Amino acid sequence: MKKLVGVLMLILIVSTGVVFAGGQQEQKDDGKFVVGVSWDEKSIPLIQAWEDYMIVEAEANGPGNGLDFEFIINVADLDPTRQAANIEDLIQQDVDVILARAKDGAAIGSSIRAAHDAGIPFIVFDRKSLTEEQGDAYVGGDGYSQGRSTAEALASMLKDKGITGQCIEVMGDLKDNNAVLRSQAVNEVAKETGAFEIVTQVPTEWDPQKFLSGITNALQAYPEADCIYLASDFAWSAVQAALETHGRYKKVGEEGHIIMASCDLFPDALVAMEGGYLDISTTWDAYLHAKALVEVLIAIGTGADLDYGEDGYLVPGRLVLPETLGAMDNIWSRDYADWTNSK
Amino acid sequence: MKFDSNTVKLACSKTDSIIKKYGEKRRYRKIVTVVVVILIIAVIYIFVPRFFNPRNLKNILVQSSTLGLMAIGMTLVYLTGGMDLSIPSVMALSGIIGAILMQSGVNPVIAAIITILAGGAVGAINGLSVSALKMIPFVVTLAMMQVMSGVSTWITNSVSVVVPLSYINIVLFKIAGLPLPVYIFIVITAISTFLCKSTLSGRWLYAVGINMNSAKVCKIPADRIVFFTYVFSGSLAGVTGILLTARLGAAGPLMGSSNVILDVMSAAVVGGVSIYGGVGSPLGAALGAVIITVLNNVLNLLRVDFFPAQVIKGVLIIVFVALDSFRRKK
Repeated sequence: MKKLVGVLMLILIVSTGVVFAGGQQEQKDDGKFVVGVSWDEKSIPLIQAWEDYMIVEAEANGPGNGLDFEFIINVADLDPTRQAANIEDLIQQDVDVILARAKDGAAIGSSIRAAHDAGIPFIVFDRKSLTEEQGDAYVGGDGYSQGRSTAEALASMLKDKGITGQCIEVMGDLKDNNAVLRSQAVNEVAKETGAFEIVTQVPTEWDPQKFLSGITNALQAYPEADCIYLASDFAWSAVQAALETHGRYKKVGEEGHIIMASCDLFPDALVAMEGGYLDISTTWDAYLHAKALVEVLIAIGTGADLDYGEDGYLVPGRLVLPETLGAMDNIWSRDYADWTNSK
Repeated sequence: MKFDSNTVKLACSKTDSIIKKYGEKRRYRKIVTVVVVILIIAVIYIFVPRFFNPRNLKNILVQSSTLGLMAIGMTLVYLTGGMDLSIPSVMALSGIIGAILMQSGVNPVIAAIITILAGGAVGAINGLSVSALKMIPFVVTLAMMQVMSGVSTWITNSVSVVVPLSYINIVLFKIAGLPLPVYIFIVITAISTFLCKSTLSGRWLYAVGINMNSAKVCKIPADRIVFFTYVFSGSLAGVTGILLTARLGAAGPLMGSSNVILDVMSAAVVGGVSIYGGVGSPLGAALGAVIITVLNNVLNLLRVDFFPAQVIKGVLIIVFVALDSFRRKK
């Protein structure tokens, strides 16, 4: 026991001595507007795209608004506990504002409270806080308008063809607000326009395996289906495999082609659109999200009013069709790789 | 199998001398750990002065407390030559049970007690599987991790359960500027270290870890010892569930992500606990938890990119396991 106490005392003495003997604090670089960024993960390219676009936008627009941006970025590796610790570490660094994409919308509340206790504004990005602590701003994509944009284009296409579509709706994870909104949007458009009916809904919980099995089973049950609405096309390879199983993976104009309408336009889906397999998509726009983030950061940095709706700063997606794709700027799934290589 | 009295005496005296030898080695190891800690502090002082901000040091102690408690649980299991991979998922499920109880109006103190008992009960299942059914600890606890993770997701539908602010305020209550989890961590470290080092049961623990068969020959209740280490580990996972739920303000399946087990194992190994059994102490694991937390904190303060930081942490763990293996060969 004596040894135990001795070891504890030794550590205590050393730590205390160092603390009081040192005490020197690293000063924040003069004039810098320091943004602490807490990502929940970095295993998908979209997050790196958000980050890179945000930094470039900040460098381009900061100086004109009297802000010299500096970013401190950490990653939680899909662990909400680590994310809480990372945000505490950002608070220790006296950042001017914290920006976080929450791994767990219910657990981010304690971090928002901690930041506010330290007098640091907090921006919640892409995933809302599910607690009473909402942060100073929410920036994210507008899941409803994105779903509606795709569904309206689908309705228009079907009307032009003079048919009433028999559509399979492939849903996302209904615990994800964006998935719920995208489903709500397509069902509303179906009722309003009468251009198509949803013959079956396939729940996926954003699991590619369930995309594959769900679409395969749905096509088995409804071989007459002539359109598919995808709440997200991130699992395009699974969608393709399911269509191939039924011999329905056909280009536009080929016999048996099924009209494909999606949200997000991830890289695999973009290739599919370029190849003639995907008819309609609405972007989950990394570039526009980053641009919105920087606008909010500048507003916080300059003390300007944050002027947006009560749901937050929602960024709508852009409708993409095969014939418009080539002329559109800043499609991250197409341009990001070239953009990073050119930097 | 029966042994004559001379064989038993010889085996027991050999076991005793091995334990004494390990005891001496443990002393050196502890000194080495302390020296390493001092060296780290000195290096950090030069390169990351912001680290010594009192608020940051408090932050490190809070972060270490939950990791440290899990590492102490793992240490006792390691000492018997076992392994408990289910700790993070048991922690998450215990926290979820406590949070659900509180949401349904159960008194927070009763909910906290049930949380610990829930962790202990899962530990008991692990313990019975390993000690009585002679199942392989790695397989049993890996499967239990999967089961607990599945149950957590099932009962919550993947949506974290938010706990009342009053509960958070009780658990994170500050005494002399430090929140309660830090004191709980210190007290449990001291008690478990005392139990391991200064009691007969503690001696048995090391004996079982060094050589299970010799321990049994010496009439040490090896199976019972192994069983209780898993119960202890599960109970500490429950305690951690209480503290972490308060810190995050919610309990959910993601709390027990597979990344947590790596940090727990790293803390124990860095703290001088041998994954082969019989060597190490809860105090070492507690220090290991502080070192791992400091490492994460310093990498963040130094603004090291995520992927290099992963490499640095991984390499550090490999180095410590290699050192352990090397020492054991010697």
